[in-house]
Amino acid sequence: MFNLIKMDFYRMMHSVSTWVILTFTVLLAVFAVSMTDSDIQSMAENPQYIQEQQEEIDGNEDRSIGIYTTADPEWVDGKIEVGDILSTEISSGLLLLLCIIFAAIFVSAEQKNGYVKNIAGQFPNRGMLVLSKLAALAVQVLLMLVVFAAVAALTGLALWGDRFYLGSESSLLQCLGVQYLLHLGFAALILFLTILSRSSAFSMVVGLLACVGTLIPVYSLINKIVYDIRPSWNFDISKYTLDGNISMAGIGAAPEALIRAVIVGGAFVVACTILSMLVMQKRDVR
Amino acid sequence: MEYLLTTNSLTKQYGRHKAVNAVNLHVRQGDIYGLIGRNGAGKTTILKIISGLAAPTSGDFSLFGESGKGAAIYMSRIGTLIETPGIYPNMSAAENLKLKCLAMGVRKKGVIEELLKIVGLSDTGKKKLKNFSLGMKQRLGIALALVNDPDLLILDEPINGLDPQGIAEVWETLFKLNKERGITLIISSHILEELSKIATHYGIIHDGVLLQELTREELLSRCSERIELKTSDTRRACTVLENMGITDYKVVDADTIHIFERLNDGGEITMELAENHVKTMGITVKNEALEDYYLNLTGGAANV
Repeated sequence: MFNLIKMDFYRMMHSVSTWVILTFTVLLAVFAVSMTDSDIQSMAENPQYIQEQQEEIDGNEDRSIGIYTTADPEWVDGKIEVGDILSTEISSGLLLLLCIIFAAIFVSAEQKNGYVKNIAGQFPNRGMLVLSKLAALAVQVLLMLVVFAAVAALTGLALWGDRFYLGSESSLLQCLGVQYLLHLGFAALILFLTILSRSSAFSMVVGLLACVGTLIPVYSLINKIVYDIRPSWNFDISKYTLDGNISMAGIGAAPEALIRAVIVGGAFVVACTILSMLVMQKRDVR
Repeated sequence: MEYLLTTNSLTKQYGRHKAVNAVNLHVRQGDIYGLIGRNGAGKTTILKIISGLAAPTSGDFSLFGESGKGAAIYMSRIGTLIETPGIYPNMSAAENLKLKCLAMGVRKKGVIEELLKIVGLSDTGKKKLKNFSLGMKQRLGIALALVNDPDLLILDEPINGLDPQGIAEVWETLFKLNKERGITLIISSHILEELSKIATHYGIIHDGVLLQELTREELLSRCSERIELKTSDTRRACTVLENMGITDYKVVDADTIHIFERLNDGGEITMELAENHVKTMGITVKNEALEDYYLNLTGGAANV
């Protein structure tokens, strides 16, 4: 098992995709914070825009299709907390896009080029091949989150100077920790879909569609059906999905929302890993 | 342990189609076992099952005298090259080998360089595999199969797509591995003539059914393999042959002699003729009879 993990780490470090994705993570962090700064400047120049942003924040309980961040009108004149910026950018799903792309490419590569045939037969329990991939994904997602947070913070510091402050470290770490687990849960879901479908295109498309919120109408339909059956439940499926929790588990989220996010993220990691191991073990290697 | 590998009514069914139907193979240690059959005969499926890449629908196989879970512990003593070599095109040959070494826990120093040397890829350096020729990729596939110092090497169509020189290089490498390291080889091919250059035992498979298992000698005795010698002077050539102790030959026409013994001594015959100033216009091992034998067994040329 440890040998397989070493193999996948070596592959990860020698894959072009790893470094391309990390480069894009840096660029995306700079881009995202710059866009937020642009929003802040627009609000400063146009008070009407402040009102629009405030309305967006107030009415943010329902998610919309697409990826966007909302700048807080208080950031125009007041101080800007690092945690708020990171939470806003990560909750938007920007980083998740890259996680999905990397997971699909990394997991499918071994099957696509047939390298799996060199090693799969040597291990009586082929499920181990899944665990080593999950370990590599866990490291890469962590690396991406750390790089994104560090670059976003440095960009913020360069743009806003003294107005940009660290704030509560524990809240920031808590938020990043929960977001890490949710992003890893999504990577595990992509791992499962890629192994199941043997197609990176399929898993990537499904992941990206979920990431940008195209499943929201489906969630609404499910919510409506459940409401029709049992109105008293006040059921919202978004609370139990990865994309829903990523958008909700921001730095200001209630403790119960964060606990629920941890449970959802952990459950997806465990369930997707077990299912992937079963598929890998039971199915013939092509 | 009489056999290194045996299969016991090995069957693989996809829907209603039996790709492999109650196959019983017998491979001894040190054999070069040629699994011959036309495309779609079930060769790859058998090899995949033996390699642990596919599960049989019924039947099983024993490895080193152990079957079932007992055989599973010996899977690490098998090296495989199934269909095309599984390689990362954006990595070098050494990096691809390093991956397999890490996976198998092979820490021996210099093992990668040694493997590259065995397959003649020592000078490829950091060249990416996407820039390799098919033959080079095929040889790297063999090197990958050798990483864990296997006792049994399973190669599925290792000469597919190779030019004659590439084929000769692969055969030479495999022959050395068998003779010098004592590695047992199972090689599948749909070209009996090619396989006959190296195999010591044969399994002929057709439509998922193993039709026959036979040794090289048995096959040759049934096929009368021969050397076809084209020369400018058959009379003097016959004298030279007889001086070499070759008596089992036949003069077919004015410039052609068929020799039915010492089939591996083509080079020696050519040299001896040259020393006696007899010009050799061509010398080849003719295997049409081998192919005919195979075709007859599998239902004739109409099936190919």
